[in-house]
Amino acid sequence: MAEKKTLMQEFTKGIIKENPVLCLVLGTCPTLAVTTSASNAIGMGVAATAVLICSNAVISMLRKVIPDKVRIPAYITIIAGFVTIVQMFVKAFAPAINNSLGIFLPLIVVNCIILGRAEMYASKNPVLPSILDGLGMGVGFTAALLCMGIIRELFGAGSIFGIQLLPVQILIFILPPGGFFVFGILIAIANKLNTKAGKKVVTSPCQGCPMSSTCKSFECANKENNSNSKEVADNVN
Amino acid sequence: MRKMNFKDVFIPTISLFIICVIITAALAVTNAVTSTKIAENEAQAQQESMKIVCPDAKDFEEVYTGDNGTAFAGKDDSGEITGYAVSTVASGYGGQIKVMTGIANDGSIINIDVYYNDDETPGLGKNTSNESFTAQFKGLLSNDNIIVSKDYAGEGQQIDAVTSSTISSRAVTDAVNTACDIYNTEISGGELDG
Amino acid sequence: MLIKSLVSVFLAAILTENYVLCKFLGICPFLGVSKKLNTAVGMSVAVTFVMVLATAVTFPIYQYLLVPNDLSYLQTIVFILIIAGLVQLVEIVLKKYIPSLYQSLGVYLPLITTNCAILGVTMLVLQKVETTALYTYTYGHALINALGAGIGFLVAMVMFAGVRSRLESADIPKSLQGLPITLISASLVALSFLGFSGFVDKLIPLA
Repeated sequence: MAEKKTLMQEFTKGIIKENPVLCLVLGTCPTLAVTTSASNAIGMGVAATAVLICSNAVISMLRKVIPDKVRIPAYITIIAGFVTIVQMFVKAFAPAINNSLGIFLPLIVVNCIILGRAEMYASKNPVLPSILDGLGMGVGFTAALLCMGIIRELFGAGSIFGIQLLPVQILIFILPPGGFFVFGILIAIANKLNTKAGKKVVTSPCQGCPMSSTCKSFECANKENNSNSKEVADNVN
Repeated sequence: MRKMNFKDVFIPTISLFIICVIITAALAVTNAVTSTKIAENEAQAQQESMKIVCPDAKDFEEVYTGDNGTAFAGKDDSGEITGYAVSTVASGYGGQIKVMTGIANDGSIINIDVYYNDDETPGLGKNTSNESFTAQFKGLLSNDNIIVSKDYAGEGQQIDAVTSSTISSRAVTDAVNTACDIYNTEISGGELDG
Repeated sequence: MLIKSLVSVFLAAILTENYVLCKFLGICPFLGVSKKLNTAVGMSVAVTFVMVLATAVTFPIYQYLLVPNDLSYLQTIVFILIIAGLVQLVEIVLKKYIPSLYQSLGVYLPLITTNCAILGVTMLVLQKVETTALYTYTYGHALINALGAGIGFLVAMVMFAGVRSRLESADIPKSLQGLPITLISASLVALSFLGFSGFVDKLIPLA
């Protein structure tokens, strides 16, 4: 990541090349849960983007002040603060979105995309690129959610943004199994395009996970080396 | 390694503490700014719902509030009571379902409005707020239990459930029955008949 | 009535409100750690443990500290910090006093702070206090609910680990290999859980 990039590239990389949902497979929970309709998907995407831009900006500003030892709790506190602020504004000015997103609005706190960008990007880069990175990742997240939302709403309810288009409704698309299925197909398409372009394909959500540096357990580590668990345990602290 | 430097412990602790204090202060400020607006939104949603179930009324006055719900008397311009709007809650499939029931002076149901059912499954339980379901309650009587029934829907006090959403439909019916109870025991029993 | 409602809460948390397959909480570990049965079980046990512990702490703090002081807007931030702290504490205690357990579960603990199922459970049980109309939803119900949610997570993980071990030997089209086929199998497992809808209400009628 050391090569010089223009600010424009910082912004656009999150949308296609490093799309957080379809290429890095981060933030799967909201991707599956709130995409029962296109408008929900936009609501979630915009809320997460707002949090992402603010937290990236603040964390980048404070990157030299926050002691390394407590950086994760510090990031979580900052992110939780912004999530609550966004939640209060949504409640005040768009109560319908608050009702339909429900628990997933406060759960933006534990969305791996946000902590991931804080840990991997904002903690190492100046403010302006961090903001653009946040914006790009947010737009990429929103685009992926919207894609899911449109497919699921079109087939599941026969409409897009509430406008009736199809006479038939395949209800299963807006039920949980439909979420898994549509997401699987979308990732398959993304993988196909990535392999065509000669890029590596993500095989497990662990690979992009922000905690992968502290967590040496799962498949990501299993593949590299089967270090004994005692050593792993010591590394964790 | 065992003995930790004072600086190693103190600086991280203090900086984490400062971050917490600043964030909490920011939240308190935002809360102060938005809380009145949030309360207003909730009141407005209720007001709109009351207008739907008591279309003749211009003004609503709270006449009963208890653990099981809240009742409002709907009054027209001259102050005459045109009907009652009763807000009740029942637990549906995913969570809470809030229903506003309009009851006319003669004890028949004017209309109902399911004004919160966002925890229900989209395409299934959420359809309980659709006109095609709620319209079934129009004209039913408040002095007899309403039941969800497949075979005798439309006969007497029986209504048909939303397709494959018996639980959500039953929850709405429960809420309406509770509203009728409130009307019978607290309003018509105490005021009009007594 | 109390026993009935407790059993109903417990069964509902495992079957009809399964956090992974019906509510989409904790998908990351579900997809990432379900490849082998032993890791799947280890992760689920650690999650269940922290879930119950976190609910045990956050429930009274919210009900008796935040709500009476009009501070309920601090819920998210307080809960996530409590969970993060608890996870650290559990790690230190296990390491010091039960090293054998630490070796088997310790590796999963750092991941749990950011597992949305934990934060989700602590928040959803508080919503249930308001939304449960048929009986009073008490502290006991909340704990049973958290335990059920953890066991539901375990059930989903173990089932899915079984499904995935079958997939290993299957001939899968190239584009679907890896995550896509995992998600499509998850879809089928979720489909089977849809069959439970209404099951608990029929089994233990509370009304």
